Amino acid sequence: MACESEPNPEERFRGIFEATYADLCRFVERRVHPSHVEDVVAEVFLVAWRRLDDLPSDHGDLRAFLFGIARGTLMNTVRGARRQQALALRLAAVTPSPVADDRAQAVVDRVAVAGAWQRLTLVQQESLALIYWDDLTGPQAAAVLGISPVAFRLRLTRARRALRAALELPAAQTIRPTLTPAERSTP
Amino acid sequence: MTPPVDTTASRLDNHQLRAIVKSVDPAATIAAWDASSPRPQRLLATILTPAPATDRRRVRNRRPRRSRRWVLVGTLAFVPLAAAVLVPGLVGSNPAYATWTSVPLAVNNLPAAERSCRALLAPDVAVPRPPLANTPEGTRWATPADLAASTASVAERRGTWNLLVMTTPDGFEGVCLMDDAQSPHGMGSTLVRHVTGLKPFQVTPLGWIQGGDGGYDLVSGHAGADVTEVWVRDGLGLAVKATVTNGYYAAWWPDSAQPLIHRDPTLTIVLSDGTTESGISPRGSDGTNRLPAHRPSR
Repeated sequence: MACESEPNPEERFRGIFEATYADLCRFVERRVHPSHVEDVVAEVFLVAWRRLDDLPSDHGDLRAFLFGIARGTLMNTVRGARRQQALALRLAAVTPSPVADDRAQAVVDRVAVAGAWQRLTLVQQESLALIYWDDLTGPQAAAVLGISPVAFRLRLTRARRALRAALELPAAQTIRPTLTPAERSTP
Repeated sequence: MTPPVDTTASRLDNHQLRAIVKSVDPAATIAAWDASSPRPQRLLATILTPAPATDRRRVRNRRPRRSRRWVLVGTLAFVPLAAAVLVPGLVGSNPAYATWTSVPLAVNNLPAAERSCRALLAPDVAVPRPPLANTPEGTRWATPADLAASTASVAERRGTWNLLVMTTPDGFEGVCLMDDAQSPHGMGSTLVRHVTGLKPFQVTPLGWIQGGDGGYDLVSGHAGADVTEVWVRDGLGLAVKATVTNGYYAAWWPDSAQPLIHRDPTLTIVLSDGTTESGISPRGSDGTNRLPAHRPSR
């Protein structure tokens, strides 16, 4: 008796495409100008189609796999200009409004958060973004970066510590790091 | 005035930290991406378009190309062979392959790239050549004046390499593939030809250049006003998104296949109304040099 047949490659890829397209667009959108998002996403899915047999079946691992391809694609585009070990991340346009979360005892202004974020290194930003923006687990984030889960956990711990320290600083120091002498003397 | 950050930040737990970081997520405030909308579905259809099986059969019957030789086919069945300038350094193993992307990006410094392209093509247009014979009216070799008046109608970057198609309203076409650092490594070809009667839904067939062993393939042509995207699929299934701007399209891709073989690429075009036409032969199924012959239907 014949076993239940698996979906053909096109059906499988179509399912993968529709299940991951939005998440992949958001991943790329956080890292490049919006006008480039669809081009990069197209590149990623072209690679995914060619490597269909390598794609993980678990949805979370699949997302991480595609994010890893996207990160490699984006890294390739910046290597010609400058060497760097992590991708720069965009920030939401910030306006002075409170972070809406009851669990946060402190009301942290988004402008101050943006200022603190900019004090982090690219590696620290990327570690936090993979966990908090892209909703990956530690091992999945490690796979995206091509490092071991242990190494990523260490990076994440340092990134959290750095963000907490940056949030402790007065907003003026984080957002306006270069003040003119006149500004410095203003009470 | 910006209110000060709460000094209890050091005691924020990881859940609170998550909420804080999410508050500056650039993707949180933008409309959702929908895989079922037309553009993603067109992308999906393009990726899943199978490469014609005949291409693979044709591959076995073709004579292997010679090393470091330029071969021009497609459109060039109707127009004369373009002169080609090949600078050693682009052929053989080179870093272009490591950084190449199937989707093009913008050139970093367009004015500098245009200057480099003109410099690269200058020796080609300076060479006296015998008059062309058996060519469409108005087709001729390019002159230094053509080159001097040219500007980039297509300019794209894939990794560390720039591809420029320099044109003039008089029909000059010069193609440069050169590295992003504006070094003298690169190639170029020039021609003056007139394409008339191109309908909005048509493209001219491929002007196809194959580089030497360990080289690359390069395609370019005219695109009608309604053509918004052109995808090129090589004979072995690699899909490449071409740049379509100012009435032209162009793309290139690494070709290091061994043994060296001809592989006819095919085109997929996307029109502004969303219709597509796939599997367009580089030579034109109806024997004309306008593709497709009829407007694609949904």
